[in-house]
Amino acid sequence: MAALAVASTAAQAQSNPRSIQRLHNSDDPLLALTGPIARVSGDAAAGSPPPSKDPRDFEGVWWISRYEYLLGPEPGVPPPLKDEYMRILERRVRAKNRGTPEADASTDCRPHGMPRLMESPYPIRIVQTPGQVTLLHEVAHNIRRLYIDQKHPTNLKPSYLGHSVAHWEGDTLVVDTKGLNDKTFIDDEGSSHSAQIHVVERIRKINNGKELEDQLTITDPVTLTAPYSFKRIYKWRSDVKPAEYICEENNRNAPENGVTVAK
Amino acid sequence: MKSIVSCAVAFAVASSLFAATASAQAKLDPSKPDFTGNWHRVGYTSAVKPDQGALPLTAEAAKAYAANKVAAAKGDRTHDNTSICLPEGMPRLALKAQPFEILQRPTVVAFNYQLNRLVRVAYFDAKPSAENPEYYLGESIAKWDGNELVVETSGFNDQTLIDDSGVPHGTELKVTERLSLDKNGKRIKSRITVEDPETFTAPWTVTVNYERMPAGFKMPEDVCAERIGNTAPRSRNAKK
Repeated sequence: MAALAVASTAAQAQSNPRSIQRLHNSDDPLLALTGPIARVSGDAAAGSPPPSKDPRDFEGVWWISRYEYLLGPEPGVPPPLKDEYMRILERRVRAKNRGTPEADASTDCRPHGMPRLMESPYPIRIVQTPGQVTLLHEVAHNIRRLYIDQKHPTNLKPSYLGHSVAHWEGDTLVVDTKGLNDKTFIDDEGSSHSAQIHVVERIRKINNGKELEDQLTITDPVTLTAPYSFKRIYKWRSDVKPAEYICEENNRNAPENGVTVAK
Repeated sequence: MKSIVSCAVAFAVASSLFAATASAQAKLDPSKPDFTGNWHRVGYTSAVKPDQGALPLTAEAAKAYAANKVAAAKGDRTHDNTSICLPEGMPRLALKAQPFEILQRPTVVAFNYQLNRLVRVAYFDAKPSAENPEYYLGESIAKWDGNELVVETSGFNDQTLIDDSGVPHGTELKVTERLSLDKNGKRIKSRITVEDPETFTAPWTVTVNYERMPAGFKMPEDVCAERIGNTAPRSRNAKK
């Protein structure tokens, strides 16, 4: 049933590529979108330290406020993928709905890649030291280092999380990430990107510092028809101590012949 | 006119940059050393060499250690979970030769290792959990003793080894690192004290030295699954 729904939306999208395509990944799209956020509760517990008043102080623990399977321009909408990559995404959604999702890097505990990592429904600790903003992600011990006021090296060797340089524009931290390999997906659903993907983030504190807003712009001349943007919100969670998350411990879903099999 | 305006804007931006940098976030205590930076161990040995000489192993632990060494000599590494990309544990991680980064802040100190991107965050003003969380890297608490940064770590599981040579340990393991920075800020001396009544008849200490990585060093991305190519657990250690 779900596979049929996907196929029919895909057909519409192909006949009118500029229309916004909705891709439901289960019979109940609302359930699919809200299920994984069970761990993400509302505001910080009473009595935990308030966020710093300094608009450029991001230091502390943040937790995404809403989780999405697809990282498109709107919730529930895939990225503006070229037709051939849209078909690949549909194939992946069907495989997932059959209970045999296709493997990507994170399946065997390699880093999630970008922008997918920023969608993780687990907390992030931000640490700010001279010349560097560091994101320590609970999920699978991913680390992002944002080098302040530096340039990308020429001949970047592709890596899972790429190379990130950042600078302040007013109180917004503008982060530019390049040098990503093509072994990861854009999102949890399996939207493809190439090694030419370029991610620009504009990160700032909003709502009296109780929230961190990240506006991400994704460019990929290989898989996308055009660049697109979306915003994510992370809540200030000084009450949270990120846990040890060792993906390798419980790696029972290691792929076999490129297909993940629940064991 | 246009250039004057952009000059004025540039100046305004520059001064606001400076102002914001100057007002910045919570500051480190200037009377304490700042360990922030990239470091690597000098004088690595695969078998830990306690300052006192021999490891004070219990008879049972000595037997287990001997068995691990025999297995390793035959190429059998099933006793060593790093062979399936699980964390090194402690103090093993602090004894490795690969670089690591220290990020020191007023409330936390993060130790970020190159090896499979492992992270330990030590909290100032914190207490260990009432129940052992059985973490691979334990729970770390930081405090100052004069100019020494003291990091006490407990709350371990028994799935890791003390060192690369295969010394075992149990869940009662406690590791205390006492880090001091030399006068020119180029070298850290860390005295690491290891206690585990299940494994050792007495606490023992190993002193290790870390030197700064060259200026401009950037931590490479190390992905164990790529290095080793297998992260599927063996049945012996697979958890349900």
